[in-house]
Amino acid sequence: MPQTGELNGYVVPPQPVASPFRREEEENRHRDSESSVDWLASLRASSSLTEEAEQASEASDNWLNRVRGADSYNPPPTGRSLSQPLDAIRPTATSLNAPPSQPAEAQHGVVEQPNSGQSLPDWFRSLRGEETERPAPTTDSIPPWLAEQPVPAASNLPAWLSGEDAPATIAAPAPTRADSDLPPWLQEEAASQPPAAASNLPSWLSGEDVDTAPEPSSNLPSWLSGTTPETTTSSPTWASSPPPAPTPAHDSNPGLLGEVDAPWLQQLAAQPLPTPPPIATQPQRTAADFFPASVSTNQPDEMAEENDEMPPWLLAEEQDEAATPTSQSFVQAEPDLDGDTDEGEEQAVAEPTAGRKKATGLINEEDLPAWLRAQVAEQEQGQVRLPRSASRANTAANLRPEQGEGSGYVPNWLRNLGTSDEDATAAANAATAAATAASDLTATLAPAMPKISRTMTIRSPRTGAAEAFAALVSSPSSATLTSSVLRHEPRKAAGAMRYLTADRLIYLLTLAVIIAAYVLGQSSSGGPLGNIAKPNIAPAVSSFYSTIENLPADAPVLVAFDWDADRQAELQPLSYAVLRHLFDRQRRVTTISLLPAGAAFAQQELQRAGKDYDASQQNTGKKIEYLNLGYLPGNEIGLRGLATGPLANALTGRADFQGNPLTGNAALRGVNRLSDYRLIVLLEGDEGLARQWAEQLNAARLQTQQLANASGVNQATQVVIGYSQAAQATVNLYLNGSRPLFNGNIAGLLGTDQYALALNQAGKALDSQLGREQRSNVLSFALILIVLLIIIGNIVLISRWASNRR
Amino acid sequence: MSVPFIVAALLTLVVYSYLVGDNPAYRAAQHLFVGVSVGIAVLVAFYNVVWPQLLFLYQQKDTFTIFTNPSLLFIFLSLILGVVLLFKLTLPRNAASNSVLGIILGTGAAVALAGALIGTLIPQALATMVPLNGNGTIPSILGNVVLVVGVVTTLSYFYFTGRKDGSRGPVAQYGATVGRYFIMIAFGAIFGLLTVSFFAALYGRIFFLANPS
Repeated sequence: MPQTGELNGYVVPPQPVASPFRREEEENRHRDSESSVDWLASLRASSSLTEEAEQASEASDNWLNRVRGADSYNPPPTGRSLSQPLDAIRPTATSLNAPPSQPAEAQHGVVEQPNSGQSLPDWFRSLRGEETERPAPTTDSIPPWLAEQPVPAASNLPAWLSGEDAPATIAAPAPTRADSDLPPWLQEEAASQPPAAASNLPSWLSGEDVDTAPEPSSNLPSWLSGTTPETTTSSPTWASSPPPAPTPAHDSNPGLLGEVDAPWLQQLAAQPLPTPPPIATQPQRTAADFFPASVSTNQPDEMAEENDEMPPWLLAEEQDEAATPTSQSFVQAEPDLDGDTDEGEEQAVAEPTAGRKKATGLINEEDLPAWLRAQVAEQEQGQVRLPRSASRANTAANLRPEQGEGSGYVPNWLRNLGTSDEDATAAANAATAAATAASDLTATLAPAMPKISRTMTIRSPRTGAAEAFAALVSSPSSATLTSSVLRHEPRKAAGAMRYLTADRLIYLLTLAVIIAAYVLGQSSSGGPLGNIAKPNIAPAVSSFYSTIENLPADAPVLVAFDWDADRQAELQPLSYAVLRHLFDRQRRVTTISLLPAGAAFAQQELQRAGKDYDASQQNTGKKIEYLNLGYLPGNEIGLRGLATGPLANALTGRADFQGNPLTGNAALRGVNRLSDYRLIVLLEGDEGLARQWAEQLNAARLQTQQLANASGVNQATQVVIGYSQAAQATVNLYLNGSRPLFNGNIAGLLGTDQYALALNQAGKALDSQLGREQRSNVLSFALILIVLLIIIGNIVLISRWASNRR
Repeated sequence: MSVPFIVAALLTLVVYSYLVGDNPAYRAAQHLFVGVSVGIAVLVAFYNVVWPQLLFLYQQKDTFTIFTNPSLLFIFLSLILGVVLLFKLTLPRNAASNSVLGIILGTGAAVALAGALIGTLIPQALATMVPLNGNGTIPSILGNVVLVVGVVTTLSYFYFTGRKDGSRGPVAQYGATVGRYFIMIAFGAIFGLLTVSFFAALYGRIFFLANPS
């Protein structure tokens, strides 16, 4: 279905859109053609010599084949007004007047069948010369609406139509076959008709002087002769050009078919007509298309002359017939931008404007822009008939935004150039000057204005993007091919050297340093490298240590093992050191974990530390009490329940990690809620879990503080944290502030070494278990290497940046 | 050397083979690690959480206190909801299982939001509001100035609202530039801490390989 639109003030021509609606429309048209009466289908299909039309013509009646065969032209792909059915019949009437020896079917190869004349309607038989058998249509046969029409004055009718002149018979083209080839009935028909003289042909049909007025045919019935518009001096629309494509009929306007008495013809008018096919190609839109080529092409000079010579009552009928708006009218209203109507463009413009019904009269007047309404009104009044150039200037003046309502935006530069005349009448008077200005403007704008393709298509953005992407892929940019990056391809190394990339070199160098430091620093003195790491105990580590030391004997302590295998190397030594410290101080230890694997690591470290403690306390016989609660599901929810509610609720039905019931466990003696623990030790390998603990403990502390005012809940619970270096950035948020949550903290292996040092000072040497000597040297050398690499890398980067600037 | 040590040592070397390049052995070790982790998690969750509570409910069947003891009632309801949640395996769009999932997510979000507000946001905002003179010492004064300037400029970096002419105020404009450097310094510090943590992991593997047990 053609689409019309407006883009930046330009009238976007209707474009064929391959939509399912179009296919459905074509199918409907085909179905309608099949379901209609055969002769009607053939009549419809007569506008195009398609295969379907030929098939339909074979199925139609014989007499209608003849009618259809007279329609010897191809219909243009334009809209069709209500007069279209009659336009298809008009040539038929012409051919009826022609000698029967010149059937038009011969030109189209349509097989002519003998006509018995029995299937012809009465009116048609009257056309064949049987008027005596049937009286002329009376007023009873005229529809009421037509009866109310004013009778045209005799003075308005041309001479040939008023009957003053001798009736002229329209001669058919030269015979294509001899009379002997005609069927008998046709020869009889030819014998009854007077021979058509070439002199009786109208000038427009005979190809002679166009100013010669055609003579009306006296053989035509009165109702047909009264409606036949072939009264102009120029070639009539339906004869000079192919009839437009059919458009849906307008119910409210019967058109010329309303004059026909025959019911079958009324039915023809009532049935929907196919949609006109879209315009296949359109010429380039150029700058001069701004000028009123739309109007001038819509109303060519020939048409204007024809309008002037037509009587008012016929003009009125023409306008009534053209009252049906079609989208095709927008196509014809498309302005001519360049003005240099080349041959192809002239043809493209002439085709849609060949028929007078395809002018602006096809749409309602209220649908027209203001400037076009004014011009149409002037032409209707017959006051001004502008030449093409003057009409252009007039339209250019009317294209002003303040004058033309919604007529489209015209840029200022163009408006200044094209507003030499603002008034239509003044433009008409200054037609010559306007023509000169238009030509000058065309010459000025032609090189300046880019050629805008008229074949602008409205497509979906996705389709356009896909096409653009395909274009980019299909045509790589030359700049890309000649870029320095592609011209200087890195040279590929051969053999094993291809694996020695920069990052791998860093990995291998770091690994080599760590292994060398570990091997060379096996002894407690650090070996040949010496002990380059001489840690000082940080205040936070000292506070951590002091918090455990200051706990009362047999105090319950909760230790959270929230680290996994990925942090084992970092937190396992710290966990072991903390447990040993707690065991040595005879604290009751309970462990819990927010990670399933953390519970297993907790069990592993408890057993290891308990075994070592038992081994160290063989002489004293002291026993330690610990409990592994295992995995606590739910993360924040589990912590919230553990921190705020009674411990019995959070641990109802639970067992320890080994499946033993919790009831009666010595580690839980006197512990009913979380605040009953004197110390909470968090061993966090992940920053997220550390944040969860900190947030929920802070919330529980606030709640506990509120409860303390009423019930005196113990608030002496202290919290210390040991964490991985990866979680230090998060944990630091809770280490400072007016009320820090943690009483002490240990960060990574460096903090563990400091903690071990504090234990050594306290006579609880754990260096052999923790491997502190080797680890300190190894990590120290590794960090020194990294610092050197960072410095070297920055130096290289800065030097390269400086060289690039030069 | 024990068999577990040999297996662990081989897997360690296979994982480090990624330094040379991706290879099937590394991918096999990676899949094995993921599978073992999930297996441990499932076993621990079942034997440490689900199974003891099922046994506890079974032990309470003769006392008929399941509907009188709130704790037992919670366990029973949790068990039912847990069973309903298993319907997600066969009926992913089941309304009942979706409701249970909604309870879990909604409760978790509410608890997390409350904890973040009370435990993180408010304490951090209060910790930022410090006097610039600190305790009177130069380090404390410098520390507080850096703290305040860093907070203001970092926040101004995320201040995207501009005037009608597209410009921003001088604090937002120049502060955003300074705040960008604060952000980069923070990211650099985090990356450095991660590097140290990874070095610790590397040392742990070397220590494990060098001390067979």
